[in-house]
Amino acid sequence: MLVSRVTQKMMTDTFIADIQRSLRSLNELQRQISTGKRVRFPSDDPIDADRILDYRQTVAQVQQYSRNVDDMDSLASNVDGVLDTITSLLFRARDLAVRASSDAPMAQRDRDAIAEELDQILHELVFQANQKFDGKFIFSGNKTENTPFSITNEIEFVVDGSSAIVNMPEYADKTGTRRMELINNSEVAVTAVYVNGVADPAPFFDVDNNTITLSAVPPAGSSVRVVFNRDVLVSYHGDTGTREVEISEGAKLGVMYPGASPNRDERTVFSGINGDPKGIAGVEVFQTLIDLRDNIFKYEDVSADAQLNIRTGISDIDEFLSKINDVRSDLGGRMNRLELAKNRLENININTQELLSNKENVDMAEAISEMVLQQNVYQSALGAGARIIQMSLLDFLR
Amino acid sequence: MRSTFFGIETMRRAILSQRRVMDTIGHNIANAATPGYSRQRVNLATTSPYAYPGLNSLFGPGQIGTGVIVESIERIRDQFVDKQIRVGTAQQGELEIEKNTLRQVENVFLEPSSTEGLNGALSKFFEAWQELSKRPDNIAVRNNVINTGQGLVNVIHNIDQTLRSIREDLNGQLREDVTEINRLADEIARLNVDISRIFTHGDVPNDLMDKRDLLLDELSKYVDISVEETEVRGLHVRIGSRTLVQDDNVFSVTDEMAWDHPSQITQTPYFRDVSQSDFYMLANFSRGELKGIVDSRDVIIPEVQAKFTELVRSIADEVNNLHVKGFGMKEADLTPITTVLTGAGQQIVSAAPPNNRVRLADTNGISVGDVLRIEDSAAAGAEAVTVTVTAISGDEITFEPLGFDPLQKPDESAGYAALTNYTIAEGAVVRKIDPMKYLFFEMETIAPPQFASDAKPSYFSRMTSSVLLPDEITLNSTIADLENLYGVDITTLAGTTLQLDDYATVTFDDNTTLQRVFSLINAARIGANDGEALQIKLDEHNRRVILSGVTREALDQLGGAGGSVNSLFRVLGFEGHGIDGVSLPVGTTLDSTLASLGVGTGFFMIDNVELYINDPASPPPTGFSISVNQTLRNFISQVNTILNAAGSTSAGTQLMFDPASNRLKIVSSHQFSTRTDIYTDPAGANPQPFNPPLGSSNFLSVFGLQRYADRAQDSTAQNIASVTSSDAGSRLRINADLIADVAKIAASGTYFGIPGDNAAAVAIAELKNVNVLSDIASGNTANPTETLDEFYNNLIAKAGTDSQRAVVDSEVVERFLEFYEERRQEISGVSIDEELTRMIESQRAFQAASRMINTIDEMLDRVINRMGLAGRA
Repeated sequence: MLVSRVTQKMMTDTFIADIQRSLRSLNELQRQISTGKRVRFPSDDPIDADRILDYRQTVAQVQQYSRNVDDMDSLASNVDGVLDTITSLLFRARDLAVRASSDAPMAQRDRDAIAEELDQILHELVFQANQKFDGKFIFSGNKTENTPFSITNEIEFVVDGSSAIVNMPEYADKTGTRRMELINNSEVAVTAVYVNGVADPAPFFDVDNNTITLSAVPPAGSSVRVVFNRDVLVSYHGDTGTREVEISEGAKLGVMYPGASPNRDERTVFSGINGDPKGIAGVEVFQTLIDLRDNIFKYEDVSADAQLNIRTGISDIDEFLSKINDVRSDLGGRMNRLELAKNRLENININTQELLSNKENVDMAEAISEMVLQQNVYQSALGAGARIIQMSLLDFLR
Repeated sequence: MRSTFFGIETMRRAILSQRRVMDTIGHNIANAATPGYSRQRVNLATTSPYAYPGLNSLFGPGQIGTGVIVESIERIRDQFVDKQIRVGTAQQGELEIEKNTLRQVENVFLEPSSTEGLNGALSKFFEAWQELSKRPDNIAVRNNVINTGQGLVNVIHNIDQTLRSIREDLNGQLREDVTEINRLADEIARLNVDISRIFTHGDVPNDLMDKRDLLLDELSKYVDISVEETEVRGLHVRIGSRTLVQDDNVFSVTDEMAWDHPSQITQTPYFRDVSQSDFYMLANFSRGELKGIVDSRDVIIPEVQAKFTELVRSIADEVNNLHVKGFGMKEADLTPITTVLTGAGQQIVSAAPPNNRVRLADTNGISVGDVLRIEDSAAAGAEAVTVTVTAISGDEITFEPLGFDPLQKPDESAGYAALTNYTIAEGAVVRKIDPMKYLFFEMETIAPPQFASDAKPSYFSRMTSSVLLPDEITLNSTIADLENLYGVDITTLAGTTLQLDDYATVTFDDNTTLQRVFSLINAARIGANDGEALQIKLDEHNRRVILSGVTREALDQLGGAGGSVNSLFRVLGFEGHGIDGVSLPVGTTLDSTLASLGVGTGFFMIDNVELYINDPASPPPTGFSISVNQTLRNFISQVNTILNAAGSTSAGTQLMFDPASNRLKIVSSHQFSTRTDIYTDPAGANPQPFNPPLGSSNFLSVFGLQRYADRAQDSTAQNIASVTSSDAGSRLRINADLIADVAKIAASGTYFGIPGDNAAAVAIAELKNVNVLSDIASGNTANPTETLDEFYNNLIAKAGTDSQRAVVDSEVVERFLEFYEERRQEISGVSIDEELTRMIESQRAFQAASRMINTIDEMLDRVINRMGLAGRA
């Protein structure tokens, strides 16, 4: 609109308002350039503010998933390493058993040496089975506070008190039930038998039938503890938990395998537990090695029986090896998944960071040229204003 | 014949007039920069010419001018521009406040420029749970869960408190503005007096009028005013329809709270009517700072608070829901129940709900909602299941397994499937677990304050009904008319006898007019013994009923010895106890059906009475039931019948429709002081769960009556017209038990003492990606569409767009104002150049006039002294 009458106050007011506007945009540009951030308040650009928050959440989440994947990956490598050691130990045990069972003439002394080595392998295997990673036992399932495998030279069980002849406990294996071997020779021998904590003065050992005849008929519910001179029982104190962790939205993955399980078909490292109703449970792989050891020790005594037992043991070890192989190939598959997830997460991370930077950060070239433009506007406004508001009729009156 | 000195006299006038002109120019120049000053102009006019023409004219044809005279001095001003500027100023005042509020609200959240906001805290919190899922047995990681949780709580407290303090600051500003308005009103009134006095003496006080206009400009910043000039140049200033200043009278505004307006909890400016010292009338203002403040305080911030509270509640509720299902590292306190599974019911009967049940030897000590541990010690591997009891029938319990699959919520079919593989053997031991100990977040408990409206004075001289009567109600309206409008059957509820005190009664029926009832009450002179007798009257202008000259005691006697006020008085609004609902959709009447208003079936409670709304298809188990297809009128009438049934503890409580404000309200003669009075938690669980059990029907929330509970808990009571809000934010904290012993954090999903189990931790960490909230509409929580993050992002984006809109709006108004300010300057502003030019003009005129006198003087000198010696020696 054309203004018909102009006063000095109008001009100064307009001048001040214009300078204010100019300074406001200069100030905003200066803030953008000095902070490098385009959006300070949501109102600067509400849509982009929403996106920025969204991207930031995605980045935070992806980084967390990456950390999860990395942690799972190193755990998986560790588990794989232990499984590798276990495999080679079992291979060595198999070799030894094959040598011991061969028909080639061999002195019992040599066989005893093999049996001794098997005993070493047994202990090494228990040591490997109790490996820790990051302060946690890797084969104890979710009962992470328990040492998963313990090895002992004692067998303790409860009797019904009907007779002085006590059977060794039975346990289940893949063929049915089996009574625990009672061995008593120069290498593996019973050192003492306790009935309710009291040593039996003269127990009689029936090695063929795996029974012990006590000196007196024990009271019903008595606890009988048979102590050997070597370790004879490995038991499991973990559970069957497999901890899964989120590796991307909605996808969970675990790389842990329980050491043993009551259910033989479950995917475990040391196979099933030979459960006994009386509460004694040995873990199959270890019990097989103990059996092998004992049978090689007594090879000469009852050769036919021992030979058969050793052969069964060898085929059992084969089966365990193939089970561990299954576990390892399953683990391999999981590690592949981790690798894929890792690559994918890295891609998302990079892409999202880039998007975030696009939305959040100032395009410096643009911002600076905009600022120079504003600066020019501001300077010309100042220059023009300074000249015009000074003019007055007074300058020309004498 | 003209006089000898005729010319001198003319020039004298000219000189005097030019002096006036010069003085005015000087005044203009002096005030060139004075705010509100409008330039003045001297109106010069010629004096009457000499002489009147006529036959007897003393000399020939033509008239001689006799010079100049100052006719008036006027200020140059355009009233239209003034009006526009005042409108603009009021808008600017309003928008300036809103802009600042919104900017502050944005600032509260520190997003998106900082990572210290809720976004960052929430991310860190869920990351801590992710870490816990990897190392559930690690104490350092558990401590980190507590620390990040504490960080989250601190951020929430901070946001909540800042939002509150913004609201409180606004109240302070409101008080300042109200004081300023009253000061300006006083000054305007004073100027009115001065101006009128001068005007009646025949002058126009330009400068005083400028001053008054400036005050009006200032006033319009606070509130939108309309101005009218009275005959003697006084002003009549109105805010809305109410007078603020009329000539020398001021009707001042106050921000005091009126106790007899229970629905106005927060300060709102009222007019204090000088003629009725205790009568407050709500000022209605549509623009200006006051409007901005009240809107900011009662709409903008409460909306953000409500959204924020919803988010906080969701975070707490969802985490808690999962956390209570999980287990800590250590054995918990279990309550042994000497009960074992027996006989035929030993197994889970069916996989499909609701047939998960087992038969126990007895169910003593077990109730619905309990978490049980069934320990199957006889089985190999000694396994156990943990379940929640959903029903008990005889010695059979039905249960749900505790599941950990939030993505499948609420259908926990996976959990049921898993359970079917498990056989509970005969002889399994059942033990009870107390899961309430393991809420992750809890609410700090505060003593429930009373309703603000409970603070009724014990003595009063005048009391105004809190209900605005609709226009249809006049003194000639009958009780039946009232019943029809409010949906309350007064005569059925409270009988036809109004017992006034021990001896006097007033009897009325449906056909009695209000006039009749009032005059009967007035005639009874209740309370006369204590002082003045009760007078009741209808203030037809303000649409309220007024009681005067009574004590509180006398009012209690209105209902008889029992002290219960009659239903009629509850309808008229003389009960301070109760709650107003929210405004209902336009077009809602008493004939609308419950279903059309969105009410669903289920139970709810009013004042300890359990009520059911049912589908016609499925009849209720017990108690009162009404179909969703019933009208509001029938519904209200039936609810009132139940509430006031003989022997009911809720007698005196009634539901009613308020046609004037279009909302449902509950009024009562007794007070609901605690939360449990309103909703009894069926299980009686203690500590209270985070959400009060609102019942399964959404009835209370549809009508906004659930704010009962919130208000009972909220010490800084919110405005009733604002959206649901509570102090969830500031009272949230982490369960102290967990802080004391981090081993109690539930990471395990199966049972206690399994430190490596991480199912609960994974489930809680996954919450970040689960849809738990919805922005679409309230009451649609069955199908949540947004994650916590998304909901929060929307909240921020909303604050951003609102703020952006306010900035743009205020720029528009600023331009508008600039335009009219310029226009005003164009008309009224002083131009120095112009004044100087006029000064020279006037100076020359003055000089010329002086010269003229000299010339005439010389002429007379010639005649008198130099005309020869005629007649002289």
